[in-house]
Amino acid sequence: MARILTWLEKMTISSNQNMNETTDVLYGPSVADFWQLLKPRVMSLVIFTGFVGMFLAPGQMHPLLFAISIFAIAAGAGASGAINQWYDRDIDAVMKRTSGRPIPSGAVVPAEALSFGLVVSALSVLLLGLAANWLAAGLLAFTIFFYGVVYTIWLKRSTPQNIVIGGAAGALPPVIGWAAVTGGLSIEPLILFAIIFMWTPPHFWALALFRNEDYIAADVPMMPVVCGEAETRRQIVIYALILAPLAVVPALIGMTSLAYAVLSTALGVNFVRLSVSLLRRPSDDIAKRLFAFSILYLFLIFLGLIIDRFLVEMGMLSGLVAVL
Amino acid sequence: MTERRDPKTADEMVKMRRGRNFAIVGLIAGLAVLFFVLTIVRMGAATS
Repeated sequence: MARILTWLEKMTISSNQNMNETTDVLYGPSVADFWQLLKPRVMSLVIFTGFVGMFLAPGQMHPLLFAISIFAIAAGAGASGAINQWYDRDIDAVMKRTSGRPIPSGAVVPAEALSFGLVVSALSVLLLGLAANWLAAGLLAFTIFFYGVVYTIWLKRSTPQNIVIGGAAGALPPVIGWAAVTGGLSIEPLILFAIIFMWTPPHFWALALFRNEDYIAADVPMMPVVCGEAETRRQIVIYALILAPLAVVPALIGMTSLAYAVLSTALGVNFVRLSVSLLRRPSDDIAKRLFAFSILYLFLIFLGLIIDRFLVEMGMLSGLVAVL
Repeated sequence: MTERRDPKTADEMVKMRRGRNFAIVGLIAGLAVLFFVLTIVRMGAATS
């Protein structure tokens, strides 16, 4: 009798669970859930860096085509975010930071997220190809593939260098923007690519240092999980030491004026100072400060590039360009 | 992160569905307009 009661109890729980799943499907996801699938915060960074690439590129583009191109780059980035959330749904459910995302929270069915990601990917590449050119569209398609497949499916779960190599996807938007305006590539967008590429590891490792338990729980081989926190802090310093002078290079090749050189040097010195401070006095507090500063750093570096170009074109910094 | 806003009543569910349907219509119409404008601008650039 007791066994029958236990069986009945289990059946009732299982039936309730099924009912919840069925009703979830009946209700369906809201527009806001699909918006969250696009990772709007990441998208805003992509819009910004893509815009900088387009703004700095020599050449003219119809304002409307310019806007559509930015929209397409943002949509492509968002689509790769949806594909990433589809594949990482098991990890996301375990990690505190991501457990509220649309798939682990049950708002969106995985297949819906994947279809959404694939359709938006195709539309964004098509739109960029028609609005700008097929080189830019090809680069966008490569970026989506690199983030959705190479980073998410392959690297993320297999190597502590996941962020280092995968960072290439996040570094490509200014290159796509440049290609959209010029129809080609040159050294300038590659420098912008290199800056974001070298910025990504210290940025994410600072986050991983104070979110280490999350990555351990999800069994993601982030640098602090595999190589330890001390080694991660050492690597952060190495990357900061490469990043700081690299960010000054635009001024050295005549892309910007001396004003940008001063700004990027000051920001770079502070980045290195914070990284060294984290190495000497390990604490979550300093890791959080470094993480927050790294966001501000990239924002100010790219904002500096835009303002500098604007002022040079207005003739306000022409003397400073001649100095270099 | 997003809070789940499960509808509590049938009316709420219908409202939610209607909102989603309007969003899809808006999206499709927006895309149609976007491609139309894109074509016009590109044609203008080609003829000027």
